[in-house]
Amino acid sequence: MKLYIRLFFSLVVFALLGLGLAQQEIVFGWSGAVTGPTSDAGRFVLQAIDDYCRYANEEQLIPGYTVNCITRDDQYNNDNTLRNFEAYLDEGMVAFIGYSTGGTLQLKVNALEEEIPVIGSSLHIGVIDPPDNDFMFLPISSYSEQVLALLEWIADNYQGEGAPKVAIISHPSAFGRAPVEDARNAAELLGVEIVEVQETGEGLDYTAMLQRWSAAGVQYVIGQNVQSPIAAMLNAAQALGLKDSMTFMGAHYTGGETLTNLAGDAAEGFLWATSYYLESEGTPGMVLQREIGERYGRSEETITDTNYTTGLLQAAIYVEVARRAAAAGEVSSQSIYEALMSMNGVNAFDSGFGVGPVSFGEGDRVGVDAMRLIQVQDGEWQPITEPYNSRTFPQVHPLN
Amino acid sequence: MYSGVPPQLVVTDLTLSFGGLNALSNVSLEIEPGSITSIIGPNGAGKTSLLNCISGFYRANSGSIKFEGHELVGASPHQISKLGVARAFQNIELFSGLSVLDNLMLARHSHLKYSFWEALLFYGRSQKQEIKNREYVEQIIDFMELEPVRKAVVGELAYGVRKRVEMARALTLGPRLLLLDEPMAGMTLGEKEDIVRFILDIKAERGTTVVLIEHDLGVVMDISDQVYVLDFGQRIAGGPPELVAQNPAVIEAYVGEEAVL
Amino acid sequence: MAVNRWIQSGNYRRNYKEDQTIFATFSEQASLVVLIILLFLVPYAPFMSRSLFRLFDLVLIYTVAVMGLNIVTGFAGQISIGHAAFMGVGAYAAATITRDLAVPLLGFADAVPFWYVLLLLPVSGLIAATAGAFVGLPSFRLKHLYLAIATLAFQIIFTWSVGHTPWLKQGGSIRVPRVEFFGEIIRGSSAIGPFFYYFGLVVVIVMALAFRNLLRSKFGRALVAVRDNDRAADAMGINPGATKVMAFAIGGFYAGVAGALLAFYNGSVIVESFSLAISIDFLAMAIIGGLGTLVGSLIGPVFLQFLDPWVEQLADLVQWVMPSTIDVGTAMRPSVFGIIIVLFLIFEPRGLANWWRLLRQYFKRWPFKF
Repeated sequence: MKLYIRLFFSLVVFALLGLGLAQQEIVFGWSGAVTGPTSDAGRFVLQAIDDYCRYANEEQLIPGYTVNCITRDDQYNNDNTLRNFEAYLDEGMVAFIGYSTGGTLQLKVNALEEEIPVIGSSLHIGVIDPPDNDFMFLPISSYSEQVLALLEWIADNYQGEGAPKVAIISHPSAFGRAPVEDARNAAELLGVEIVEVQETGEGLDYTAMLQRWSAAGVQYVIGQNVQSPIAAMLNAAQALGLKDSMTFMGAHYTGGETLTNLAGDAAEGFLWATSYYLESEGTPGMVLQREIGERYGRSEETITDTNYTTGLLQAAIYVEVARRAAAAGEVSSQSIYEALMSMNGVNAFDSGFGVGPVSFGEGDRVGVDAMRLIQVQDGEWQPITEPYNSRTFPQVHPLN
Repeated sequence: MYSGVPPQLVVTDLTLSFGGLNALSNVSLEIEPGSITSIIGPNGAGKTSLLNCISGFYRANSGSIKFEGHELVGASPHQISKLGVARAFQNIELFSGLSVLDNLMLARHSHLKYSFWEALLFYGRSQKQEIKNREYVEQIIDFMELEPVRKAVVGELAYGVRKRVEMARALTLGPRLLLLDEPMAGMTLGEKEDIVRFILDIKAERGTTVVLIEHDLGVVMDISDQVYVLDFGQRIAGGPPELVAQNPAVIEAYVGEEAVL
Repeated sequence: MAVNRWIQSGNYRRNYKEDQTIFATFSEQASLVVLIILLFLVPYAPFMSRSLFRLFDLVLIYTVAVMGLNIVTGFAGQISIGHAAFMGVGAYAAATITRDLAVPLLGFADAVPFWYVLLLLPVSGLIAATAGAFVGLPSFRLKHLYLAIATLAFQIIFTWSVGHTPWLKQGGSIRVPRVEFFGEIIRGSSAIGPFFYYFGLVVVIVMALAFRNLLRSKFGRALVAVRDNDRAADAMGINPGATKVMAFAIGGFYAGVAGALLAFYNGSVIVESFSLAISIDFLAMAIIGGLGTLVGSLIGPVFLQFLDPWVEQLADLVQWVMPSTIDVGTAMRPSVFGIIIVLFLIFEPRGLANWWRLLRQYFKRWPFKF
């Protein structure tokens, strides 16, 4: 055992030595789930970050500097996330990309104390809520705003008598519970009735739950969950013949190719709120996504996955702010932070990956503010709205 | 029978049944302090059940067991143990992972008077108490001739020695009534003689009352002050050994064993 | 009897008081002192990095928790699958007492003074001990696996309840103020790492001493008696139910102290730090370290915590050798972890503590083999 410790020590020492040699290097750190829970999404994010950094170096996006993106698995374990974060500090990290909700929430105080900007994959509104939110950023709009946008769509499109009846299927974790309180408040404003909030994280049999909801007259089901339970629910709904009386919809991590692959026909008509373009749309950003993916030998599955877009956007934001910081002087966590905080107005960054420009500033810690609703039509995801913002969100959850 | 001295243990109309089957029915007996009382009877007569009732492992359905005025029916084994009734098990029930010394120290549990917080410091009273009780344990080790195996792990000892440790542990509790359940079962003649000597010494030197379950009727008749005979859960005879030996009911229960009696 | 007490290889105790001592020889005592001095010098080692400090700090915190689990499982023989939940009770006690009582009433702002932390550790421990005793109550009736299920139930109830209590942020992060140590606020990982290393080390030493003392007292013997034969223990005047409840309470206390320590260390409390997976990790640490030994509770957490980054390095290496399309490296990490645990259970069920014992004997007898 002693030998392993020594090996580990020497590896760390090596890493420290390596840091001293390469001075014109910008270190970004990513820690996320490559194994363990949610790793099906996490590994696409990791591949995207690796790829974009390679792309940035090959294309010399930051003249005079090379980007070093350190990516390590944390198995969706917060302790590992914090350990990786501190290991990256030793390696000279100037900005961090988080992944899990728990890990990112727990990092807030560390980010503040170390003055390291953090962009997470988790869209939990608590990440950017005070206290300790100074260095915390979301790449796209939060789960809360997505769920509220879906509630607004229900209120606008409902044609029956009385209040529309909604059930929420949320993940049994901080991630799943994130938008529930805001959703309740918004539902009151919009005259929508939330019949039940069901927490479930496994792809179990949802027949009983759906029959209960059907009996209670539920017309809309909003998911704040991951794809597999949603897919299982959709399959059960199709088997029960409930697809006509209920409309199924969900926030960012419910949708994408993974859902249509898992649910097949049952996914037809599913409504998804997200801020990313779809690879199939062929917009300039998506062309770039395919180019990068193909250049580094990624599979078709990777290239078309939304989580790959997530990683590209996160890396692109940091590369862009590092470029601006380098142009203005030296690159440090402080200058990165300042470049992030001034990324607004004419300085907003149009990455091409999100449906709107990335903007940060005082009181704005959400990158791509706009989102669209995307629906499965004939087995393909089709945008059904233009990019827009939730109108109730600022009332329900005012940000500083 | 001894007269004048109030009995130490009085069992009155004790009935114990397991779902309709009576292990003991209306058993009554009295045990004088400082005596050796044997309980005999064929296998399944209810001898061990009676001991289990006295030591609290079984709860009798009706009747009473009074030890020095305390009712034992309904009390738990550890409460009864604290009243001064100790028991050695028929099937050795030692703490096999511990040393002989620790097994005996365990029996001093209720005699070690120090609090949890004092135990954490292990200084002052707790240390003094440990030493004092260790001395007591060493006396028993001496008495039961266990010095060579003091620090040996019990699980690794020979059967005869473990039986002796079992008895020593019951004795370490410092009881006024000692219940021995077949302490000589499966022993060689030499080992049996040792145990008989120990039992007699316990009575003579320590004045402890001994209740003995034993199959070897020769031993029973030799050392007992009093003998009770159980058969099918009922007491069929009781009294001094020589009287019991002539009891026709006893002879009937032990058909073919008259010669021994 | 004039023997050189530095090189003595046998038992030369002359009275019962000497026989109570923990360490038989002078050289053993001396090597312990040297070990402790070395441990106190670790932060000055040139290789110490932030992440290494985190590893050490977590090892120390988990060691406190695993000592508690070892009392419940190793000594009293009751499997607990909910130990992380007791740690959670301690952590949430520390976080909520600080947020709802100490900050408004005592007027702490950015940081809490060190004396307050010292006071809060045992308080959190006692609250967790109460929870432990409560969960242990079924042991008056239940035994073995049935009791293990009761502890599992507590783990599930804990996670569920925290997740549905807005007062506890529904399991999201509750902020815990940083510690102020003699006028200096300990913030930032470069300060927190060494500070909690020393703090954790002192807590571990104190808790280990209490552990050792407890075990050579009648309470420790009672625990082992209940584990080995609760029927006989009953006949010895030991109340088996009460003893098991006591074991759960002590285990809860250790876990609670560890939880409070973790809360101050992380500066936040989040329910995921106290999940079923962590409970099982604790069991693995206790088993690999060696159930029923103090040394085992000290070695187990070190081994498992350091195994993790080591396997990670190895996985990276394998990944580097293999073509990138084959995902061997990532699959290797959890499986190597699992395999090592299984190998231990098969080949060394007494855990690393047994290796330690053999090593110690070797040096004690050196240069002789027997």
